[in-house]
Amino acid sequence: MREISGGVYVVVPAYDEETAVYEVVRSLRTAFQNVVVVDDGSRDGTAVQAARAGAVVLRHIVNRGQGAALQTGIDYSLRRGAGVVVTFDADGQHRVEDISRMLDALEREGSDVVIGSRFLGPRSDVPPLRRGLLRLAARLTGLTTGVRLTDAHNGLRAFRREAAGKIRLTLDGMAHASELVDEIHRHGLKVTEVPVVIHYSEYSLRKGQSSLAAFRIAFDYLMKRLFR
Amino acid sequence: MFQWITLPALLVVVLITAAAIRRRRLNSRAGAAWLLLWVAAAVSVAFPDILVVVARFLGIGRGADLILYFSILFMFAGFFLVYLRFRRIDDQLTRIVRHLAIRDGEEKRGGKAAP
Repeated sequence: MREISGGVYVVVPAYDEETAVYEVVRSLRTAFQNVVVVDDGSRDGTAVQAARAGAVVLRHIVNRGQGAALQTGIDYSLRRGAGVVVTFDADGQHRVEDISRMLDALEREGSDVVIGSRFLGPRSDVPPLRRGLLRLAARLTGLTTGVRLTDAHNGLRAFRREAAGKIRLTLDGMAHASELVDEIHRHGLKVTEVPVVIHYSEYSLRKGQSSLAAFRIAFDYLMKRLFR
Repeated sequence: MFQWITLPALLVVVLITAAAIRRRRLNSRAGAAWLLLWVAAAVSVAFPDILVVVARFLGIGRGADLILYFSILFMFAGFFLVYLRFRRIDDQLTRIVRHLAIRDGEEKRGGKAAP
C-alpha cells in the first residue's frame, strides 16, 4: 500500500463486542499499524480482547453511543497526527480489503471523504426492510442537504485529515450518520461513494440496530436540525 | 373547606421558596417567578370570582378550565425546557468522557506527539 503521510488510523467503535472484536482487530492489523478501538463503556471483555489483538484501546467510562465513540477515536487519531482516518465497525460486517479501494478513491478522486455503499457494485445480502429504510434515509438526507448518497448509514468511511478535523459529530447515538452528511454539506467537502460488501451475519444482525431504531434516529436528527 | 387546606399549604410552599432564594439555591429571577406563581394560585383560591372574570374575558367558560388549559400549556413548555437542558448535560457528559478516554489513552502511550 502506498505511503500516506501521518499514516492511516482505523477507528473501531465497540460496545459489548468481545466475541467479534478480536478477529476484526487482527485482520485490520495485518494491513494497518494504527488501529484504535473505542470501547464505549462495554460491560464485557471488549477492551481486553481489542488490546490483545494489538489495538490501542480508548475507554469511555460510561456508554455514550456510537457517534460519541467515533468522535473520540477521530479526535485521538488527529492528535496522533493521522493523515487519513478510517472508521470501521466492530461486529465483523466490513471487509478489510474494501479499505484499500477507499484509500485509492481518496487519492484518485481528490475527495475529502469516501463513504462505503452496500448498494453499489457487488450485492450485499441486505434484508429487504433494512434496504428500504436505508435507501429512504439516504433519499431524505439527500433532499435536505443536496448531498446525494446511495447508502445513508454505512459505518465504513475514510476521511482526509483536514476533513476529519472539520467534522463535529454531536449526536451521540446512531443519528450521527445523518449528521455526518450535514457536516459534509456544511463544510462543502467533496464526497465519493465506493462499493463495499456488508456481511450480514446472524451475529451482526443481532448485535446491530433493530429496524425500529429508525424512529429514534429520525427523531434525534430532526431535533438537531430544528434546534441548533 | 378547600381554601382552608390549600391556603396554608401554599403559605408553606412560599416560605420554602423564600428560604431557597435566601440560601441561593434559586437565583432571584427564577425565585421571583415561582413566588409570583404561588401568590397567583393563593389569590385565585381565596377569590375564585377573579378567575371567572379572567376566563370570561378570554372566552373560556369556567375558571377551572382556564387553570386546566394554562397548566397543560406550561407543562409542555416545561417539558421542552427540561429536554433542552437534558441535551446540554448529555453533551457535557460526552465531552468529559471523551476527555478522560483520550487522556488515559495518551498516558498509556506516553506523550501526545506523533510517533
